Amino acid sequence: MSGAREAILARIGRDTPPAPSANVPVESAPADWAQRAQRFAACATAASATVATADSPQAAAAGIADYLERQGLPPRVHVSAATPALDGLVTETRLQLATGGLPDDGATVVTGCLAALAGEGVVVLATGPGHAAESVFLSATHIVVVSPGQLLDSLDALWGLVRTLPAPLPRMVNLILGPSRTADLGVPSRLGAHGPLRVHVVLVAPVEGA
Amino acid sequence: MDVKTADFRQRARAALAQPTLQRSLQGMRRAMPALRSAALAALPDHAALRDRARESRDHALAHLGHYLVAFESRVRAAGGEVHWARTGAEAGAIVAGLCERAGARRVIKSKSMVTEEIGLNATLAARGLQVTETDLGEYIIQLRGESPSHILAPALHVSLAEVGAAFERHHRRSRTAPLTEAGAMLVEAREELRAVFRAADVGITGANFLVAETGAAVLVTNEGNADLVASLPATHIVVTGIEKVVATLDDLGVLLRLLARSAIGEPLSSYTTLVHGPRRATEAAGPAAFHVVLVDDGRSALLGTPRQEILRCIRCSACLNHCPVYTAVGGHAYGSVYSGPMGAVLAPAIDGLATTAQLPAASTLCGRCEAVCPVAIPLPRLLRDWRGEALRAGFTTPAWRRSLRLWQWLAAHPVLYRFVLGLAAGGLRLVSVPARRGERRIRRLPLVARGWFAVRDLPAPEGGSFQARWRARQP
Repeated sequence: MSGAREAILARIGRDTPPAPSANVPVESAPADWAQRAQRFAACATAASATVATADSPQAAAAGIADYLERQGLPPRVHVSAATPALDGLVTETRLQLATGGLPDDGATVVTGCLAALAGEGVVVLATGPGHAAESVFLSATHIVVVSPGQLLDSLDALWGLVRTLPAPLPRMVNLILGPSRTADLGVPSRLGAHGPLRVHVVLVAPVEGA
Repeated sequence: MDVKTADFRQRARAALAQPTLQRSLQGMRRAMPALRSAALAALPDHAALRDRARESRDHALAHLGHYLVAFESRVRAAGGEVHWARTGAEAGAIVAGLCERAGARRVIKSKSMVTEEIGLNATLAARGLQVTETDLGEYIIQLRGESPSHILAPALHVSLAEVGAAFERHHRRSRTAPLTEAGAMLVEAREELRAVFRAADVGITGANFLVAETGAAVLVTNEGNADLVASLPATHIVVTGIEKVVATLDDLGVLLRLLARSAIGEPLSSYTTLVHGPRRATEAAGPAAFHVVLVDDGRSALLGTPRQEILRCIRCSACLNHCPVYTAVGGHAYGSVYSGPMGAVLAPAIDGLATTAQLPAASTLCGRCEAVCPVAIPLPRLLRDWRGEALRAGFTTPAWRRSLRLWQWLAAHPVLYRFVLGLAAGGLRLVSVPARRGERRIRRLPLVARGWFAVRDLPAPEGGSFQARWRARQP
């Protein structure tokens, strides 16, 4: 219906605007990793996620195995969006790894991420050859491992990062704050409406002196 | 949209007598204002952010054509298609055509007010397509054959027992006990809808925003259903209004910071997703086809008029949650897809004033809606503007016109006006009774306003009239 396009554009005009406002009221977050991690944890836990820190990818993998045991969940995990932060998974003997395909209902998925935002408690994942969005949304438990350099200040820093990604942009950029929830069955909200019931974030700390 | 606004009064009366609805609305009146103000108070500078949000929406609307074309070119570059629809019927035909092209039989949807506005489900059902809503609230009202009663909480008027009954009626399962517990209902809905998600051919979502800078359609939900709708079927269709575009990711960030805080008192919703086109050649999953349908449906006619300001609306529902009229009667009384103050301004623009003239009148003009609007829409002024037009166009009742003419005549005769006013004030003082702190209040009046006095009283007039006081102040 190209007639509709032209008719609508004729009505609304197509002038070239002045540059949009670059004035962004930035919420400043601390530059220090430990303080940032603290801020992230406060925001994420307020949204019903759980947060742990680890000194290395190996310690992160061990922490994941501990977490699954504590929750009474099976040790089998589906791996997606792999980053170096997930390197410890292969050597953690208590975990059984599955890659490729989609997780079953009720499965646990372990992913890396594009970024985590301290100011919002959000983890950000991008789709690509190594990650389909639905592997997170079909799972019951989502565990995310964040590399030290991926812990950014806030949304504004994320937009800066998205602008540096090579074209074309990822099909989906998913900002995730805590588990899936709904208020459609009354107050308080209930967790696990369609997406994961549990979101557990592991922040890998920078190596001292690095 | 299917408008039944002409009988607002009748529906409002019915709504006041619905216990479930009244309980939900009472909960909303008690909880939402405090949740919202606490969430906004946590921001370093809420006022500056609100100014910036207003500015970003005004900028996009002032250059709407430019930003829509920029958005369109980015979607095309990513391998998607953009379609333009002047009317709801045109949009429905486009979506039906796309479903046909996809060879679709089963369609899943996430919550979209624009698709409610254009009656998309009925259009698709008439073509033999099986359409399932996946937002839990929308799913519940779809099973019950109803329309949304709130733009964010569509099943606000439905009790838990009624949800259980709807699930028992529609879900084919063997049961040993009736479904009464919310947790069990959630598990059941999740399981039922998983099968529907996996079998769907086409997924239809709305968009909270479109970003011209990257060509993103932005989906905001708490349930995560929109992400599955946009991921699992082979075709993803976004249906949204032309006014949803913003210039940059920075603008998006500003609006996202205000949207969930204003809507539900949370810093952000659980899921905010930027969708850029169909699956890439290197990807094994994701829809192979991606379409965006841009719907005008009366919006462009508002541009360049004082009513353009309503197009800044980001559908947060703060104005509904704070409105003394909406929180008394709920959304169905409005008979329009959009309810509350924003709905009473938008519905006449979309459906025409002839069938919606009662909606702008359904407001006390108390101004809370404007005060809580994250993009500072002057809703009371816009409501008054529609009221004036309704009067000029003769869409008001003869009794209303007669009383306004009487008032006009009286106001033009100052001596008589003062006499009548004095008489009325004296009469009101006479029927008033002593109350706390030496005040006098009116508890009832003979013959009139019995509904008002059943639940409220009025302060008795004190001191002189405004005119008398004004004269006394003159040197």
